[in-house]
Amino acid sequence: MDLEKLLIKQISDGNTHAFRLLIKQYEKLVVHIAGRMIHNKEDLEDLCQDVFMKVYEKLPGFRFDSKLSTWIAAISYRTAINHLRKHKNQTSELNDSSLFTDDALIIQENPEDLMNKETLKKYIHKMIEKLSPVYRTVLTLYHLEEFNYKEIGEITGLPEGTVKNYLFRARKLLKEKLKFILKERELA
Amino acid sequence: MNNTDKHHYMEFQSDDFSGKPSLLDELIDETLKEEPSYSLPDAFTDKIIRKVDKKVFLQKKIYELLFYAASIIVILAIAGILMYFVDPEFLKSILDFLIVYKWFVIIGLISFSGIQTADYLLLKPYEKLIF
Repeated sequence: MDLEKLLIKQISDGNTHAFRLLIKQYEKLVVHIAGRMIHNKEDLEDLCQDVFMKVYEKLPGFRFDSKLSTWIAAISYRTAINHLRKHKNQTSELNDSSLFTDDALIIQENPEDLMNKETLKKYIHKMIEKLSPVYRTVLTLYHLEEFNYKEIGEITGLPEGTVKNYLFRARKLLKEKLKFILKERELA
Repeated sequence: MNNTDKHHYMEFQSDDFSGKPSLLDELIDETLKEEPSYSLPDAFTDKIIRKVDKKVFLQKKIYELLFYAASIIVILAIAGILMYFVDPEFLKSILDFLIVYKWFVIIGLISFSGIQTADYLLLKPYEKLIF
């Protein structure tokens, strides 16, 4: 934490090398959160740039009420959500009540390949992409970034109970879909 | 489906209430912990730093401009106050002093402007580096 304080002080004093260190430290976190919602490569890079510019502007006002990573993740999440809202064709994805953005989850893989672990993983990735942005973010923050429920709540602005519920529902649905596919494979 | 596949499938499905996660759960966990394929270009950090430098430079220029504008306003205000409150004879004596020593005043002003211009011209190449 002391190192973080020192880093923030250096950045606030205009040390761009310190800011370079911060970018290197948190770029994966930012790209993981934003990348779950934005699929266009150019848009994703622009959005990540916006996130870090916001971090730079707001950093002198950071009061250590939360971890720096939680604070940066919250900025990334809000920036990505605002980006989705601006693009009308994607606004339907922001409907929290729907777990999947596309009900017709068509199995395109050859059923014979579905027993292969790597193919199943690819399929799970595809299913994750079809989840609504909030579910995708919650799953990423919990499993990949290893934030706890409270921190995920702070990042997304959701109550802790809702975070647990979303995680449970998303995992359950992924599991059910997989079971269904494997069963179809058995019948094939 | 051959026997091995069937066995594999059964394993994936198993939920034996032992508290141990099934293979499906493990597979989902493993997949969720995998690094996504998308990433940022190598020059990403340099781009941000360039943007930050540009922003800092522009902010500095705006502050400088505001400082100069404020200085002019203050000088004009002081001159106005002097003209309003100070005895006209005293002002005339100052003016007379400036007329008598006009060459010193002119050379002083030219020197000051020259230093400012030289400073600007010497700094210009570094400004280009920032952009």
